[in-house]
Amino acid sequence: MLRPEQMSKISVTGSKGVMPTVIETIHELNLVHLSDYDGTWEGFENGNPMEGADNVSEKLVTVRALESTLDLSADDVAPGTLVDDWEARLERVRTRVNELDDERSEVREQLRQVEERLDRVGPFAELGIDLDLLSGYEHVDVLVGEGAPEEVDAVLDNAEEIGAYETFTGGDIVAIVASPAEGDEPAGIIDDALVGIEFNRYAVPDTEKSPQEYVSELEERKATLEDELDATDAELGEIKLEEGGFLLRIEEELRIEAQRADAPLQFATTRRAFIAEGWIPSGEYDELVTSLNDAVGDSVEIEELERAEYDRHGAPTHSAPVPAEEGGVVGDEEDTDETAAEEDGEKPKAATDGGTANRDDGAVTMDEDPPVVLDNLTPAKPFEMMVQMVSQPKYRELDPTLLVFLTFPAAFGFMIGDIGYGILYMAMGWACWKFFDSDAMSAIGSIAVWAGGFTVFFGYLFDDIFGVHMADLGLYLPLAGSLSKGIQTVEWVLLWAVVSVIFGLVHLNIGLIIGFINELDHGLKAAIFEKFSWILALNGLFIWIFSHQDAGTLGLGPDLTAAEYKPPFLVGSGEEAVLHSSDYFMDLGFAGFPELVGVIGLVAFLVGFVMVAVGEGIAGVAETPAWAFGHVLSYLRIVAVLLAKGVMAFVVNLLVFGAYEAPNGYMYFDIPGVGAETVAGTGDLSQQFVGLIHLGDGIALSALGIILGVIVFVVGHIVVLLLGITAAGIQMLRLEYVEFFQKFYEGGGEEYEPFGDDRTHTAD
Amino acid sequence: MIEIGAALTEVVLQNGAVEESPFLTDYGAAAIAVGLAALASGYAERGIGAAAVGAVAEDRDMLIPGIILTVLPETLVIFALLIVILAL
Repeated sequence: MLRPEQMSKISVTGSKGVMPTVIETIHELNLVHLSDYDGTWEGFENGNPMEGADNVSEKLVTVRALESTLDLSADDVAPGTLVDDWEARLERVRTRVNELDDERSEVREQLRQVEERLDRVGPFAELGIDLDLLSGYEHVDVLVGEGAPEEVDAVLDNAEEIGAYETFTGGDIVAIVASPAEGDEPAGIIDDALVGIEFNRYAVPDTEKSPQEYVSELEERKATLEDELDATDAELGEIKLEEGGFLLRIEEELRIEAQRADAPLQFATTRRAFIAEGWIPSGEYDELVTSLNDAVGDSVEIEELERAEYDRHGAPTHSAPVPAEEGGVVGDEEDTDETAAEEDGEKPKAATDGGTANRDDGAVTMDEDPPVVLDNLTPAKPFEMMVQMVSQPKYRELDPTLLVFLTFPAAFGFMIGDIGYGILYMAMGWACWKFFDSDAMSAIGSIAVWAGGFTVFFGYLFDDIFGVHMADLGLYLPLAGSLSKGIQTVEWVLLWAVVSVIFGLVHLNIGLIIGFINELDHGLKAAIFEKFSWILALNGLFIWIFSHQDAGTLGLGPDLTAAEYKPPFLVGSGEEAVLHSSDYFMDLGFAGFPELVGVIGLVAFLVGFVMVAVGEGIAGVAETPAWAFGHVLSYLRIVAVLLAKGVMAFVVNLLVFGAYEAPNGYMYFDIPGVGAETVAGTGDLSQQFVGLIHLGDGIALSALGIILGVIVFVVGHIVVLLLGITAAGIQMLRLEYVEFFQKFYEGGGEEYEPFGDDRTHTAD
Repeated sequence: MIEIGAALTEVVLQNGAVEESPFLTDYGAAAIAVGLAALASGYAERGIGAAAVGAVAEDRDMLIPGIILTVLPETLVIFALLIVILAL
């Protein structure tokens, strides 16, 4: 639970003749995380891809290109089997699709040109002059464009090179015809004259038709092209429907083939033999042996080189304990060893005792940490994601998933504590889990369902549904309302503050204990100075903080607990002390630790502090205020979020319903159908706020008020709901990641990626 | 001028026997305190958030550190809120 699954390092050795079969078997098992051979053994080289790998990759590229042309997605089709002549069929599909694709590109290009021409002729249609009348003159110049007619006139009047001119306007479009001053060439004179003003020139389309005719002709052409495009698309769609499943199956088959073909790159090989190494969950080792024996008989040697221990730092050794009950398998191996040795003379030396490389660990790959397969109870599984978001745990460190599972949803639920919101969170989580395919989203969904469940649970204890007490609706349920958020009573807030601090202390102690266990890897001394020192400092300080003279003095005279400087609600036997005599909470009668205990705590703190200084140096000294004090106070954010969310919901309801105040200061919402006076049991209520739904006397005003009230109610509660996720969710996440994880977590483990593939489109 | 200043000081500091309600009630002061802390949080998060988004764009794995770093200054307003609640 707190440890990942145990992994075994295995090696498979055999002649190259059986390599493809071995690869195929391992691939189908989908269990072995292959190790990379690092090329350090003399005489052993990394293998080459199997024959035909190029061809496979090439085909894979073709198929993927076709899929992208057809816009094919993985969930379009049902699985099926591959027929034998798939290569010919693929070629047919490829030719057809490429033809259609070319056709489509061409039609699109033509369409683009037609559209461009249409754009160009638009202004001339506005002008209403036949297009052939706008060009082909010898003695005058014609120019069409867009500009302010007055400006054009003014400029042309003043232009010296223009003898006479006339303008025709239609909308913003101006056509200018001008003859040059005596003896000049007409070409370009208007253009020159208009240089100074803003005038957008249009080229005259080369046609003899009237603009209207020209436009309708182009539009006809456009419609034809669009029809063609639709037809091509439809044909492609048909192909997608017909061949989609086929293509996806081929892609999968080829992908698998390519993976298999590339596998020897990770092997150590000689001319005739190969050694493959990898990690497999120890429990699955027998299955691997059985499958390989079934596939290739005894022509390979399989060996479990080691079982990775949790408390050791890498460095697999050949003598690592393989438990005795594996005896049968071990004996089996020895048989195959001999057979293999006979078959292939140059290999076994290297594989079993590492003789050629002067190493005694029997492994061809470098020392490496095993990949990590987290192993948690089913309900805690989704929370693995929250740990992995920080980093994959290392193989030898404790996996904190279970603790996150135990604290995150509960703390979230406590902070929101509302039946209505809880049900909505659960619904959102369920939707996430149901409608999203990805693992991450379904994990988030499950987390939300858990968090929502606890929100409902605490909501019931707080007796809150969308910020309204069920009791104020006339609904009295057993245990409901046994806790209060403290929106209307300060004592509860103080109680929650103390409870948060205690929760923080427990949480951080668990973190430090995990850190201590992890650190034992580096020896007891390191663990004591680096982690136990913090346990001493943290708890010592807080034992002193929670000590009070009222619980017993040493009779020394001076108050060593500094009781009079401590807030009265925290410790002591005063009326305000929440742990001593709370009206609301259990009557614990806890006035604090006696002075003697407090002094011992203080000593423990000082001893811890010195040990921290020894263990972690100046950095530890600098961190002491934060680690021993600040991080615990950080848990006070739980109270703040609890109050902030509670008050926000309260305010939304106040705006909508309005409220009456009872003589004891309690506010009753003025909810229609529920008489506040009946619920309060007294008529002595004073109206504090008129809600939107009680806005007016007239029909128009009260209708407006009710509509506004409904809007404010819905939008307001949605805002609180969403802010609840960011506030409660992220703040608790921060407590987990920053305060808790910092005490022990390293991460940086390797993910378990077994060599294999999940088939979805092809039957095996 | 000086006289006006002195009178103003009197009003602001609520010295002397002033009958009206005070210039700033406890609740008003609390609201200002929380508001200023919120402003400070926002100002701090603005820079961190921008940097975090940049980091996430470079590397998706930075998302969680990004979120965590972005909400760190939230502590300011949370503790301001808490202190105000305890003080009132």
